[in-house]
Amino acid sequence: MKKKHETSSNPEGLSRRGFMRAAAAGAGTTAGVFATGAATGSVEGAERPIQRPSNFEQIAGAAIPEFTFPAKGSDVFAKACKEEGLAALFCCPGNYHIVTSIANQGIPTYGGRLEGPMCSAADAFVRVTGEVAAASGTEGPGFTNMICAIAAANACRTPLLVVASNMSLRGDDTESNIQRGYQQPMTEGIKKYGKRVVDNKRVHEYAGYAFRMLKSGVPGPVHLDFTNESAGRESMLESEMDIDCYFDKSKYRTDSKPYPDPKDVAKAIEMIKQAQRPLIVASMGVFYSKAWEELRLFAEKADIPVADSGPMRGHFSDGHRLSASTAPGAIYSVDLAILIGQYCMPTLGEYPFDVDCKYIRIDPRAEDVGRNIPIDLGIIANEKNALEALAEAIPPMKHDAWVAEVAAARDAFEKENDEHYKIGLGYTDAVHPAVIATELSNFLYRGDLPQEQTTVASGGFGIGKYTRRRLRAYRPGQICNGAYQYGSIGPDVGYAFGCGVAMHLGAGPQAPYKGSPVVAITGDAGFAYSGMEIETMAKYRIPAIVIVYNNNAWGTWSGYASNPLAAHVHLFQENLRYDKISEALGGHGEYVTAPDQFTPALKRCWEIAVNERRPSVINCQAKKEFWIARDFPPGMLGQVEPGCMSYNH
Amino acid sequence: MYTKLVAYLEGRSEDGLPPHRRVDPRNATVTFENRRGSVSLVLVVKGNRYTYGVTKLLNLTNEILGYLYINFLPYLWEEFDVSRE
Repeated sequence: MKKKHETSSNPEGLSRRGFMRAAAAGAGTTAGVFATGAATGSVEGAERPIQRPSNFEQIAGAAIPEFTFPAKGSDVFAKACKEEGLAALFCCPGNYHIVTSIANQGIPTYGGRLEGPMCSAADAFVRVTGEVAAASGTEGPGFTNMICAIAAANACRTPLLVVASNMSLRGDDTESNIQRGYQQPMTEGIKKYGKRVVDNKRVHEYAGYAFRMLKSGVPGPVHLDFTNESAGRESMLESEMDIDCYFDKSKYRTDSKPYPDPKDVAKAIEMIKQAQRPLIVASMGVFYSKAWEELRLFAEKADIPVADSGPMRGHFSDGHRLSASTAPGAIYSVDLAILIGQYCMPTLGEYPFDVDCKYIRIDPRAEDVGRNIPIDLGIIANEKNALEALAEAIPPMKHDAWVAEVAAARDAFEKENDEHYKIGLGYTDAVHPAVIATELSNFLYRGDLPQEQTTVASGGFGIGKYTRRRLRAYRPGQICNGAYQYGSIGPDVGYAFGCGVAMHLGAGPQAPYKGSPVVAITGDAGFAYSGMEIETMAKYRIPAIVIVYNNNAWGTWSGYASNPLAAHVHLFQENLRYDKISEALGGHGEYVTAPDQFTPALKRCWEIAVNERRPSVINCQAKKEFWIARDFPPGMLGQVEPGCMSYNH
Repeated sequence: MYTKLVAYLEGRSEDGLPPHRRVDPRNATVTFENRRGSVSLVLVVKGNRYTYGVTKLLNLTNEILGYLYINFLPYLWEEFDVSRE
């Protein structure tokens, strides 16, 4: 078969002769397209409503092409993704072969405005569903736009598949054309595994590498970049005989999980018996091993309080009598901490337990046990298996005094939050963060909605320190803990989209609430990074309500307020209208300038979300001085971890 | 801030606290000593209850840091160079 680049001197295979041939053939088609455009153009100056093209209505009913050979490497890769249950792909145009092949497999595919927020969307999707999702960018800038989001996903140990195109081997080091760069060194330190895939015969094999990493042990991002030779136009494979290692997933990886050593389980039970005030800290490993039921059974049988932590919340219900997630005042009393699935380890003191506290760590990898915090017992096991073994082996126990102390700490915390709210209501010329936090919480959990229904992308910097105190998780994956560990403040609208898609598809633990609106919290600084994705949510009819805390400044302003040469760095123009941006992008907008306007605006947005499936922005006009406690108590708040305020670990 | 901190410290000896969180005045007393704005935590043990005193002192330091984190974060930014992120 004659290849198109055979006569080319250009490494990308485009010769002048070839171009002239193709251009002549396409000239008639191009003329036709322009003619159609001219015929349907509208009158100058007429009102042009925002509308989405009919293509979006056709997605659901479109036929899924059958996979057949001959096939491109991208098709082979996409087929492997489908067989592995890849739940969704978030991308922008670019990496065309891989994206189109994945879409042609019927894997839900979403195109947005910027690769960074799309990668964040994929991260959030995974965090609230536990299912593997992918993000894609084109070579060069499309890929590098994703770097921050990949780093955040890595800190969260998200099993995120990152795919990107990367020109061709033939053009390496030439600077021919544009967008050349070696991708794998750029993700060094922010991925679990990566590979530049250069051979179409090995595409399936590397899909196996990817999913082995994504679905085994401690998860993390996998980054594959594909050259034209492996997945592009030059990657055609005649039959499966052309492919190396063309095995089914049952042959290239295992779902077997390590079980704890019975001696370790017995020792753990002895330590629990000796403890007066034990606490289970349940983190992301509990979520990813889907061990929330085993966790509940163990906690209830042993009568041990549980605080959850991690990039998602809800694997232990905040409504449970043993929940310590909203009892920060009790954390200092803990004399035995059982850290389970805590892949992102705090250092000693960051969880401020009693100084004589003993530690049990349960983790699937021995290499990490003992890092940061000296252990009294390490148990190497899959979290689900460990909790199952512990629940079976432990005798029924009672820790009445300790459970009562935790309950009292919960009450004290709520009382403190109520005090903040009362103070916040007193500031009538702007919207205080305590008002937003409390009234949002009342709407989601104490009104007409089932309290376990709404998934929240919890973000923002200063506002997040108030809303985390009031947001609750009553079931797995109900909160995406936006800034977890990496501390990005910008991806929140991307996270909202990912949570919204998870709810739209009813993926993982979102299934019982399929189609429900989602809520996101962000700041005015954060909104600027990813706010254009309001348009993406509008075009896909993802009903997210994005609450923007607009205090005219970065959260860092207060530290530089008195420095005339530096303060401006931390300031924006005042009273910016983020709500109008939403309206201009096809969403709904509300501008809230006083405390009594917040809940009515939230209710209007909810109605629009339910009835019109459109996103909204509630632009809450605050003021930067709210962070100065001397003038506007309670000011900027900090946090105690683990529990509902956690985002470091 | 100092007034609130003093009130917080006094609360650490109140009757309602569980024993493991309380500084029992029969065993030790805790106060702040303020020398021109430089504040020290002072614990005086009664009798020879030194183990009790050291444990309480360490845990109190732990709790006071937590109290500052929650309520006076900008102070920790400015005075202890805690990360503003």
